[in-house]
Formats: sequence, structure tokens, C-alpha cells
Amino acid sequence: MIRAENLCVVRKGAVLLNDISCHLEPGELVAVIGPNGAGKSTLVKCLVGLEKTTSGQMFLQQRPIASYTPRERARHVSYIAQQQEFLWDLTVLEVVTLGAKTPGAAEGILAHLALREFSDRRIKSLSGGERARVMLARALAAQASLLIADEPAAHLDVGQQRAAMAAIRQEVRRRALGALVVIHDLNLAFTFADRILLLDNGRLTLDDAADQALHAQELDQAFNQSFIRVEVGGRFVVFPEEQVS
Amino acid sequence: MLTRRRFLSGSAALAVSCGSSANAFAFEDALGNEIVLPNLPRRVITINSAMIESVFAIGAGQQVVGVGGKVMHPPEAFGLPSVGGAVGYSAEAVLALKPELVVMAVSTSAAAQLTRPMKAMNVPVFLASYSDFPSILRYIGLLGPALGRSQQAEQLVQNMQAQTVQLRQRLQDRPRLRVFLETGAAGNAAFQTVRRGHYANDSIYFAGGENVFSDLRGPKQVTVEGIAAADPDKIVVLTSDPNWTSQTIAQRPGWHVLRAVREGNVVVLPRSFMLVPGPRQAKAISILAHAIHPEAFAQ
Amino acid sequence: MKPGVGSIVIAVCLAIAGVLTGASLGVDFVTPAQLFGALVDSITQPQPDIISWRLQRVVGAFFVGFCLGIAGVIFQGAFRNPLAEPFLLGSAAGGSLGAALAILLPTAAVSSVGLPVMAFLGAWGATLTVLGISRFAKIDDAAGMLLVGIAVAALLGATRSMTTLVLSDETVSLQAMLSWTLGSLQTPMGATLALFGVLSFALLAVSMFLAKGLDILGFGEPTAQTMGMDVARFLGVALTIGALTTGLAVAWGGVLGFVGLVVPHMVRWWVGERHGPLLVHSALIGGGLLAALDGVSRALIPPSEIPLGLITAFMGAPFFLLLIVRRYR
Repeated sequence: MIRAENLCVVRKGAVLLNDISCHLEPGELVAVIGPNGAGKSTLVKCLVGLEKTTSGQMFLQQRPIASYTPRERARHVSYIAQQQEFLWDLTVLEVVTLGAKTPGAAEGILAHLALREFSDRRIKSLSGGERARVMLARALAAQASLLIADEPAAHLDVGQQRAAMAAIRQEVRRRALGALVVIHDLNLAFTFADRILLLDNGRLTLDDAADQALHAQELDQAFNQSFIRVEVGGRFVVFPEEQVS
Repeated sequence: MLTRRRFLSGSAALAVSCGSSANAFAFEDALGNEIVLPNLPRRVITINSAMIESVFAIGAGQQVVGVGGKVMHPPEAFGLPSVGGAVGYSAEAVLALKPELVVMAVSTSAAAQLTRPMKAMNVPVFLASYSDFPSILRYIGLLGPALGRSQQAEQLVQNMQAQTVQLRQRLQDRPRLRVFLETGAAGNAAFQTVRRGHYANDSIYFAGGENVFSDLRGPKQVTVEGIAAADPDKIVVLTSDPNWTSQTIAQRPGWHVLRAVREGNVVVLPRSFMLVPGPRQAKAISILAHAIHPEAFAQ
Repeated sequence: MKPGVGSIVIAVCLAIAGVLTGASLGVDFVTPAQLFGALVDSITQPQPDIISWRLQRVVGAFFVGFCLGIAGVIFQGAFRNPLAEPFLLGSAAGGSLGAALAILLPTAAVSSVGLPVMAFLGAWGATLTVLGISRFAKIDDAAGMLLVGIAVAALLGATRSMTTLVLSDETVSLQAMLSWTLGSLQTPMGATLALFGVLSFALLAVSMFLAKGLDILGFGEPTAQTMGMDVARFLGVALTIGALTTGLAVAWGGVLGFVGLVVPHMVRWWVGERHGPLLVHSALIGGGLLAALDGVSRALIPPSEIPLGLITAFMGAPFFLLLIVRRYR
């Protein structure tokens, strides 16, 4: 559905992305992980057209992404930025309606994300976590076939993080949404993602199913850590070695 | 003011010490500054139309070696070297002409830019000041002794006074008409005028009229509403736009409510002639009288 | 208060109250009853009447304020700064240059178009120049355009000062130029006033199409872009319409500071920050306010007229300071 081929981004002599090829299909939840500065944000920004690529090609439904107008692209891809900005103090319903494909879509998604009681609250009166959920609602209300999100769980507490990821996964299963999500927390990524993209210093060192990726050596290399894989309730989680000892 | 006087007394002492006091040439300017020169100034720089016209009108044109600002009258002044204009005046250009006296009017940009440099270079300055009509006569009278043309200046002042007296006699049977004098217009919004203390206010009086806004407080601009409330008998519009006629004025939005407009008592006169505070103001008054009381000059 | 029919009714009432206040005030005070009588008279037996002049002038003032209210909302939205004002992209400097040429350079060509058209061309031309240069330089954010605006305004301001200096002598009235710069209602009447009114409402209608985009810009330019907005193009269109509205206000009202800044700001507190309601309410309140202030300008020291721009500045500047203090404390 969306496909990048041999993507390179060079800024002021620094190679931010080095020959990256990846893709995102409908109905799958892909997590982008990697240490800080590995190029996660740069990659998603390229995919939504906010960052210029130095070389390589990107296709959205077999068509070069550059040939889309912003409006056409937005019909297929919705995006949640890492830094949220709310200049105007609108109500939650107004914010979600601005992103919605239809007015009904806004109401539906608010109910879905348990935000209905907030609908008349002003956005600036909400906590960081609440705002993040509103922005997720706004992005999902567009009903695009792909969602690209840059750390949508960053400002949330543990419970809210899981709720947000569950909401995204629910959309992935329900209407075959394709979601590419940058996730900082490795275990959150392994729990919810179908597939993992691991970025290490601008290179894509791993592109594998989540349960395979969990055991990959590249993970330890990328984070310069020895991870211990522990099985908890039938599922594996990872811990940095020193944290266990 | 203090520094100027100190400077002047210093230069007076200098004049006395290095020349014989019998030959010293002393006069005062319109600000009351005493100026003492060794001789009659033969190289004079005169700045701004009113000053140029005055100096030439008292017969001192031969002494003028440079002018500044826009020269409108007389024609003999047209070819003289210029020391600057509205965009700026050059002290260097003034000094290059080796002046013995610079004649300027206070409250002009020339005075603001040149007084200090001239003082620094020991070039004497005659500063004129004008507001109402008598003040114009006064500075012209003072220019006479300064340029060695006392008699001519006296004569000119008397002529100007005589012209106003003549007009008064001619108009004595006429009713004093109430006049609105427009000196500028910001489009069709506000209209600028003059009040007591401005020579044009006096000119209206000498011309057999009475300025409806002589007691105006606040900004010197009025709306149609203000003019309508004052209900002038005559409207005199001063403009530099050669295309304006009384028709142009009558067609302004809302001006049809004015009685003077409806009765056809609107006159358009050239601004550049009417608003120069120099010797031609006597002629301006006469033109104004013709505009206000045309019937008095019919025969 | 939530925007809706109720708030619009209140805004319309305030606008009418503003116009009535403006029409009542002047060299002589006129009661609303007398106003109404004069209005009826002027329809049944048309004759020259200062009240009808005053009414038309006040309605003209209303539309100037109406346009400034709209332009203020558009500029604040497009520049994503609630303290922005409609003259940011050179409208004031351009309009002043146009007016200076009209007042100081009485050639047949200039006389025939008249001062309002010259002022409009100056104001509108200045902003188009800014947008053109921004486009050429591939500037796609508001901050960059603002810098171009500052440079163009400085250039036009210098040109105007130069023109004024070169042309200044006894033959032209600098006082008139100063008067225009301080705000001057050109008093459109009859068909001209009707045209002004139609244009004002048309611009309100057109600007309503910008409302959603201005709302979305509040999420930041990157998010707006990914929500399907061609940000650079939208800014170009929005600022062109904003400048057109400002130009119309400048043509008939001169440079009136703070109205376009303060009115949308007050309306924000009242009906919230969605741009649709903000546009409608700011237009009505801006119009009512300016109509009332025009009455004040004529009534304070009669028969002198105090330049309207001085009154808006005396009232607006302290309010602006208050906003800044509130914002940063």
C-alpha cells in the first residue's frame, strides 16, 4: 500500500536515513523501534511528505507519492505528529470533527475511545494524556486506510498507553487499517505490533514479525544492550540485563 | 536661546574689537537677536519662498548669492545656486557660497538643519518668524536694516498696509460675509482650515469676510457636518490641483447640504499663491476680496 | 458563550446600537427618534439634510470596521498569532503611499481615479508584492512572509516619506496627508456606499470558506499539511483575501490601527476560537465599534474632527498592552 525503496536522507553531511526499503500493508500494525536518533521520526516524516528525501522512491498505491496533492494523500494516510500543537482552544468535538471524514465519524470515534464525556471540554483544559487521545481520535476519524503515528503514546501513563495501542489495533483488525507507529517502549511494541521495523543509526537492520524480532540479535546491537527475554504469561518480554541483576 | 545670545554677544565683541565701531553694521532679527556685522552683508543666502520674495521685494535681490527651497517668485531668483530643498539642506553648499548672512524662517526644516552649523562656522543668521498678518509686516520691516534697505522695506510695509486700508474702504458698505477657507483636503474625509493667529485668518478679515472657524479648538480639521453647523456664506477652497472647479467641490459627498454650495458661493483658488507668508500676501488679500465680494469690483 | 443564533442576534443588536450611537453623536446631538424621522423624511421628500449625510458616513464607518474585523481574524489565523493585525503585510505603508500620491501629486491621471482607489491599489499592491516575493523565494511559512512584509513596508514607507519631502512646499498640504494617515473616513454615499456594503458582505461570505482551514492551521503547519492542506497555497489565498479586505478598509478609512487586532481578540473571549463564528461576530462588532467611535471623533471637540485613527490608537494601544501583560505574566 505504501512502499519506500532505497530511501536516503542526508542533511548537512549527516546521513539520517541510509538506503531504507520498507512497506506497510492494510490490516497490519507495524511498530518502528530504535534508539534515540536512529531516524524513526525522519522515516515517518518522509512517508507523510513532511521531510524531503535525498534519494530513493516512495509509492502510495503503486503511484509515486510525490504526484499526490496533500488533499489526495490525506485521504489515504492520516498522521499524528510527535509534538502536538493546539493554538486555538477548541472543544474536543470540534477538534475531532475538523479531522473527520463525516460528522458522524467524529461522534463514533469519540464513543469508541471513551472520549464522549469530554466532547464539550476545551482542549487546553485537558491533560497531556487526554490530548493525545483526542489527537488519536482526530486521526482515526479521517477514516484513511493508513495511519502513521510518531509516538502517540509518549505522554500517556502505562494504562493509557495500552488503551491507545489497543484502540489502534482494534481499528487495524476491524477495518483493515494499516498502521505504522513509532514506539519508544519495546514491550509495548512487541505486545501490540504484528511486525517490527528496527532502525539503527539510519539503517533498517531488522524487518520481521514481532515474535521473531523479539529474539533477534540486532535488537541488542541497536540498543548496545544485552536483553534478557523472559516469558510472562505465555508471552515474551525483554529487559535490559543490568535491570534484572 | 541662552547659548545663542552668548554667541552673539561674543561675535559682537569680536566685531567691535577688530573693526572700527563706527563702521559696525548692527540690526536685530525677528526673534530679537542682536546681530552686529563689520559691513553691510553683500553675500546673502535666502531660504524658502516667503523669504526670497521678501528680500527681492525690498530691492536686496542683488545681494542674494544663493537660495534654498522652492523658488516661486520673482523670476530673477530662478537661476540662483541652490543650497538644498525639502529633502534636505546642505551646510557645505551654504558655506561654499561664502555667505555673510543667511536669511531663514523659524519653524522651517531649513532653520532646524542649518542654524547650528552656521553658528559653529560663525556665519550670522537672520531668523524671521511669522504667524498672523502683522508678524509678516514685522519681519519684512526688520529685513530692511539687515540688508541695508530700510527705506524700501518701510515703503513695502506701508504699501501692504495701504492696500488693506484701500480694500477696507472699498468694502465698507458690504456686509461682512462668513467664510470657510479650506487649506487642504484628505480626500473627502476631513478638511483642513486655519484659525486665529494664522495670517490667512487675517487675510479673510481684510478681504471683507470673517473666518467661521477662527475660534476652532482641537485639530484644525472639520467635517461637512462642522461646516454645515457653521453655515458659511462663502466657501474658498485652496488647492494645488489645477483640475478642481467649484463643480468639483459641489459634487463632494454630502456637500450639497451646505447653503453656500447650493447658492453657488464656492471659489477655488491656487494654494501656492494664497499661502505664502510674504509680500504677495497683499495681492492674495485682494484676490480673496474679489472672491468674497465680486459685486464690489464689478464696475 | 456558545456561538449560535442567540449570539448573532446579540452581535447584530450591538452593531445597530453602534451605528445609532455614531449617528446620534456629532456637532449636534440627535436623538434616535429624530434620526428615524429624518430617515422617513429623506425617503418621502428628499432634500439636503445633514442627518442623512451623517447616517451614510456612519454606515461607511460600519463597513470599514466590518472589513477590519474580518481581516483581523484572517491575519491572526493565517499567522497563527492572536496578536497579529491586518496591516502586517504592508497594507498600511502601501495604502499611505497611494494616498500620498493622490493628495500630493494632483495630476489628471491621479485625480481621475481618486484617493480611495489609489489607497486601495497601494494597500492591495503592497501585499501582493509581499506574497509574490514569498512565492518566488519559495517561502511557505507565515514567519518568512512576515519578514518579507517588514522589508516591503519599510521600502514603501521610505518611498512615501521621500515623496512627501520632495513634494512638500507651500503648494501642497502636508496636513492633509497627515490627516489621512491618522485615519479618515472617505464618506462613500449613495451607490458607492451600496457597493462598499455589497463588497464587504461578499468578502465575509468568501472568507467563511477559509474558516475550516484557519481552524486546522491551529494544529501547526506540519499537521495541517498531513490533514490535506496545501499550507503554502492556503496561506497565499487566505492572505490575498485578507489583504483585499484590508485594502477595502484602507481605501475608505485610511490607516486605523488596533481595530483589526482588538476586536477579534475580544470576540474570542465571547464566542470561542472557531473561525467561522469568529469571522461573523468580529465583522459585526468591528463595524458597530467603529461606527460609534466615528460619532465620538466628531462630537468630542466640535466642530473639529479628531482623526479617527488617534481615537482607535488611544483606546486600542492600552488594551493591546493589557493583552501582552496578561499573556506573559
